[in-house]
Amino acid sequence: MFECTLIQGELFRKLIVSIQDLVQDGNFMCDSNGISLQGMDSSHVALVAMALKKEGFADYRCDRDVTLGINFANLGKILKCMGSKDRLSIRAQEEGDSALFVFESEDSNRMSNFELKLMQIDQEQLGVPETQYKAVIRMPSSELQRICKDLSAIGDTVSISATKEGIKFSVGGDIGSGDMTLRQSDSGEVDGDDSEKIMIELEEPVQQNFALRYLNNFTKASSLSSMVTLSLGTDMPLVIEYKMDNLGYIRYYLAPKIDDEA
Amino acid sequence: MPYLVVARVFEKLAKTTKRLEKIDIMACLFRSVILLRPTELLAVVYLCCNQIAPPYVGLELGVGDQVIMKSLGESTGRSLNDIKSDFTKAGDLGVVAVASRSRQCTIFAPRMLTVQSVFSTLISVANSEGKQSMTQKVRLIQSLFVASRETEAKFIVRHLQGKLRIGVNEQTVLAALGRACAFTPPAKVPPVVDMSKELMNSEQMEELECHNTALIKKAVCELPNYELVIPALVRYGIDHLNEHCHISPECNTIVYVCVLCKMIYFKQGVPIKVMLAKPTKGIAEILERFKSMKFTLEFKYDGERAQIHILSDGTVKIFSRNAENATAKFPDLVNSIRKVKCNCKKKKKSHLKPDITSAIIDSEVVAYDRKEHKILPFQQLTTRKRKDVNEADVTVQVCVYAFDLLFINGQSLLSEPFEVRRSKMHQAFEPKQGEFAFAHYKDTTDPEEIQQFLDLAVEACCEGIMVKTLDIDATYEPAKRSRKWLKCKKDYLDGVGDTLDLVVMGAFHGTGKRTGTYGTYLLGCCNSENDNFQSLCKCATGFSDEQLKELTDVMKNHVVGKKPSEYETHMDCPIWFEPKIVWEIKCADLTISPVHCGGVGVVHESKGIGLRFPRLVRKRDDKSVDDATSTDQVIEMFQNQKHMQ
Repeated sequence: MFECTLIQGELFRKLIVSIQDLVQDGNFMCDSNGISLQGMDSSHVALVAMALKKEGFADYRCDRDVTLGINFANLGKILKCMGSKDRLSIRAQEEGDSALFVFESEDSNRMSNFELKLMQIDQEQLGVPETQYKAVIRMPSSELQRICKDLSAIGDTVSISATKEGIKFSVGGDIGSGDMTLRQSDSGEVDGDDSEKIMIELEEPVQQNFALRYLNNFTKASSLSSMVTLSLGTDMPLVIEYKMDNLGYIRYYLAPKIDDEA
Repeated sequence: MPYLVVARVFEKLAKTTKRLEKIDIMACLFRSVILLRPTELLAVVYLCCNQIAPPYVGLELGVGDQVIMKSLGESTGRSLNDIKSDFTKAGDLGVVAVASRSRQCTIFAPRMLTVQSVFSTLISVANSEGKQSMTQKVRLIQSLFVASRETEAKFIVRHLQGKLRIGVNEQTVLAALGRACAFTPPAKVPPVVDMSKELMNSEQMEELECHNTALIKKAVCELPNYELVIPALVRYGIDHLNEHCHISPECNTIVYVCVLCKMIYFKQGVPIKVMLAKPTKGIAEILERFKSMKFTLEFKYDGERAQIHILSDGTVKIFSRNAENATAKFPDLVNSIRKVKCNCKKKKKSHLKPDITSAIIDSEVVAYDRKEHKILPFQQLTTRKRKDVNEADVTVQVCVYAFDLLFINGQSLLSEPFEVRRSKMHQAFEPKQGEFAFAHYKDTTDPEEIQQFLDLAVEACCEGIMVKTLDIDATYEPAKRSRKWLKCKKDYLDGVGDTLDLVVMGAFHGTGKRTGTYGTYLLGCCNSENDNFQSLCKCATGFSDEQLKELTDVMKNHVVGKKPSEYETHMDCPIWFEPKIVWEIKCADLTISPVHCGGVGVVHESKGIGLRFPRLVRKRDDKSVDDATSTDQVIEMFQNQKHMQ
């Protein structure tokens, strides 16, 4: 028997929204430590990895490991029926072919039950190697979302370069080109709150190209967390991480594009 | 087995134009498969023939260029416009697909493509339908592109388009299979190369090859379903193939499960490839050919060929000339034959005498006026709906004219002479006016009487007459255009022998009265050797004003942006069509032409055969471009014509 309850059901809905356009279906791996998920987009360019710790749940019980094969679009349909303040419970039997989603309103006056059919998904777990990144940037997630959205109006590939000066996003397209640079916030400005601050940890300068359409997809997760971390390396995937307080994280990996040889 | 192996072989095949070399290259592939992965031989053969299911199942690929380009865009991250402009430049999506090997890296390398995975994905693509089918197809195709290496993407595109363009047809594949079986006979335990064969000289080897090929061809003709033939070949070996694969209206007597797609074909009759007739020009030619033989004359009804299968459980299946399932098109016919089954039990009047359990009849279905009791022209038949016909809505009645019996009560009659087959048919069935009849025939050798019979046939709204051998050399030969059957059409008697079924390749804008329509069309024949189409004529006569408009509307749907690379012609049309539509054309005679390319290289080193004074007879919606008149037939007609002069 697997059972978990999340006070802020809305958070789970947002998670699924930020996955479903990238990955069609995937396996929720539930064990005694929490729930994790890994999925690659169909062209093998991007990978999404999510982990939710059991501590983040109001209730968490997992007697034996359970794998829930989920079609995210279908799950999204069910989660649309949830009120924004509802509590969410998920239940599943070890060998069952469906999972139960229960929504309960704040005042416990409304209860909704939905059963989602599970799928058999043949998927290999991919080991993501821990690597030392050359540059790690922490910035407000809304800022990243805005930059990606604005730049994609001009071109489809963004070049991200991290230097001592700051982090530069540049784009070129048929109509012209442009760039946006963010500088590290002055350490003097610290007023106890480090949100809205841009921090760059740089080992050495690095520059990589990425497809903007994927980045636009990833930044859908902006509502999950006010801050986002970008990790860059040479000839390595970019990692974009959104941390959710106490609950866990969602990470996106994106393979770079190679420079035009021409 | 990696798909790359097959793709590399395809690449090699495309580089040579020599048939023997092609056979050898492919035979090597088959030998390795027989030795190492016998269970995958079926998928490999299917991929080489570019088929995914037996023709009568009606499962075809033919994915549109738009879908392929979209998948290509999604998998490489390139914009649709970029891909489109590359396509206009290259003219071949396969080349574009390989060149689009993206600049986008992947996170983890996808699993390599295997023969099985490619094949089953192709089947899923063909099977996807409904409103989500487009996205589903794009996703499936994308998964193939993402994982493709080297030139794999090129051949994936061509599989999807339904045209492999490596100059290999089914006959070549079967010949290669025959060769492979000579060197590496399947079903030998342990599976080792038979070294003793090395002791044979090359002549004996060649003989064995031909023998094997003939055995395989026989099996495929009687049972045109690789899913039955290939596993049987792998399991029982070449020498026992024909014991396991032979004519049968009930496939469920043979118990192989299709391992590849798990589709179930059981309880479904398997059509036999139909026997075809050679055209002749006149009575003198008939007498010349059948000088000292016994032969018979038959009306050649102007309708659709129909192979009717009666299964022992009462099911009736009807197959078209192309071995496609036409049962849904003739519910009235199925019912009248089924009714017959019920009537048998009550011993009432019926076409089927009570002791018949199963049978395969070869026949012609014609439109029939049941009030006036006369045959209606072919055009009436074409007005019937092709799919989902409801018996109550049928306005054009049909009558079956049975002319041959191939199988009865569990027994094949293919190797019986026609005289025996015909008399068995007459014994087994009873005609019923307006529904079921036997083809009218006459046994005679008197030229006068032949002429009378021909006139009679024309009067009875028939196309002409058929002349068939009766006892000597009179077996049924599936798929063969044999000399045992001759056809003499009324229009052969003037001008050139036969009409030709030609592929519509291109068009010119009409001028004057024809402004706004296509005024002139470029037509050509199908060259199976090179797997291309060779132009034969420009045709601008034979259509009425309404027809001109109608044809334009139809052909508009088949316009392509660029001259397809499989077209061989010196003509430059402003409009090109994809090879899809076949028309029947009549002409005055055949000549050597500087601009047309029929049989170029055979009759003249650089010039081909062209038609003089061509005119449209009718559309042939029942024929696919692969059934169009072949280059070989055109060459034969040309040479016959020379003889006459």
